[in-house]
Amino acid sequence: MAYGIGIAKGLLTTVKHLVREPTTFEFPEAERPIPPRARTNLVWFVERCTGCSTCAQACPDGCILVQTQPREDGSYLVERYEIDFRLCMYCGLCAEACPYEAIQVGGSYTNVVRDPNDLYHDKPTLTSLANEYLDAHDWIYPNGQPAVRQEIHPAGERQHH
Amino acid sequence: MADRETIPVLNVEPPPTAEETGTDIESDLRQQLLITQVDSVLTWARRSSLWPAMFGLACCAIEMIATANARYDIARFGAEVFRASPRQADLMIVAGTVTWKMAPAVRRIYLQMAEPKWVISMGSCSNIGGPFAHGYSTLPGVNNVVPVDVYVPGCPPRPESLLSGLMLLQDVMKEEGVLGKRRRPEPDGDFSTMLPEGDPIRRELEALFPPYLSVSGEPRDTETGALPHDTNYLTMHGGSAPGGPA
Ligand code: SF4
Ligand code: SF4
Ligand code: SF4
Repeated sequence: MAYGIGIAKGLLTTVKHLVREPTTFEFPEAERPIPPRARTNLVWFVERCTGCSTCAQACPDGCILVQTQPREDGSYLVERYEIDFRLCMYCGLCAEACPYEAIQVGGSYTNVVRDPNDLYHDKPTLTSLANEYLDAHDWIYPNGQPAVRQEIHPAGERQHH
Repeated sequence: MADRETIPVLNVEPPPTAEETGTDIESDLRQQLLITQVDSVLTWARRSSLWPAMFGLACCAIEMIATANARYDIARFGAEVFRASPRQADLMIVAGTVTWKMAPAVRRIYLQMAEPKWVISMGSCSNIGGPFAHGYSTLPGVNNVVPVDVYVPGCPPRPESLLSGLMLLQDVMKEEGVLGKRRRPEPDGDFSTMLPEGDPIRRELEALFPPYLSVSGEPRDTETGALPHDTNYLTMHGGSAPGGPA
């Protein structure tokens, strides 16, 4: 019965591997950190953005829309900030161009949709995605700077102090 | 993202008797309960063994291949068996730029796949044309030729994104069930706003939509279902056999 013993030994190894603690964790359970200059999904932080539109001018696809209004003190109020992720080719030129690093490379990988028009992100959507990102990453921006921890409003807007 | 669901188990408890419930359960209701159970087992089997058709169109395909290797390991989701023949595939991952020249081939591969079949559009190019959306040579979205279940944005999407797309598709399959209505919109096969009249690619694409006329517009043989002898077609494809609907 040499055959039977061999099979039993093999199965024992299989069963051992089946019940032991896993040693490797992969995507849904664990996310690999991405290098800071990778070209992948974008996050936009409303509190860093001055509304200068440099990103929109740098974008080869023209998929960023910035609409601003001057405030009393001369700064800009960013009324609309929209990115069309249907068109975006994730080249990162906007992130490279932004003088305030308000748009950065990072973000989550779960942005899959059933309707392509859901990929058009407006300001509240981008803000809530940025808040989700910061919440999941210990309130550190993708470029390594610390962010001010803030209460997240359900509508995606930050609470102003 | 939805949680990974557990494997459904058949409920082995017998249905409550008339004495237990105080009412008599109609026999068709019992049948419906059985169908629901069978449905959940079948959808579990289907979504756990999604075999993709093996083809890639552009740079996104490289990332699709990376998803299959050990670091990302699409085999964990039962979708590692990339089939070289569309007849054996359940899932079409459109990974890359769909040029007009390639569009009839993509449509034909989709038609050759056996039902039930699902489509993931991977990357900005196949979502809407991506960087080439305003170009003359690129189809503005693969949803113009095949119905798409899930869109994965990115250029290219990282393997993690494709895995998210696969997980979303599995959730969609769970939600739709075996006999449920498919929510994805079917393409209408109208290319009049994109290609000029008489364009050979437009004629070829329109021949691949219902009622599946030949490229010259003649109907199929009513008895055999065969396409008429079509010199146009044979000239375009070097005499190869047309791949009609599955
Ligand atoms: S990544 Fe490139 S295409 Fe996308 S918004 Fe930025 S500049 Fe535009
Ligand atoms: S370049 Fe930066 S700061 Fe200027 S509008 Fe764009 S994201 Fe805002
Ligand atoms: S979406 Fe980007 S990476 Fe994918 S095929 Fe198009 S150009 Fe290539």
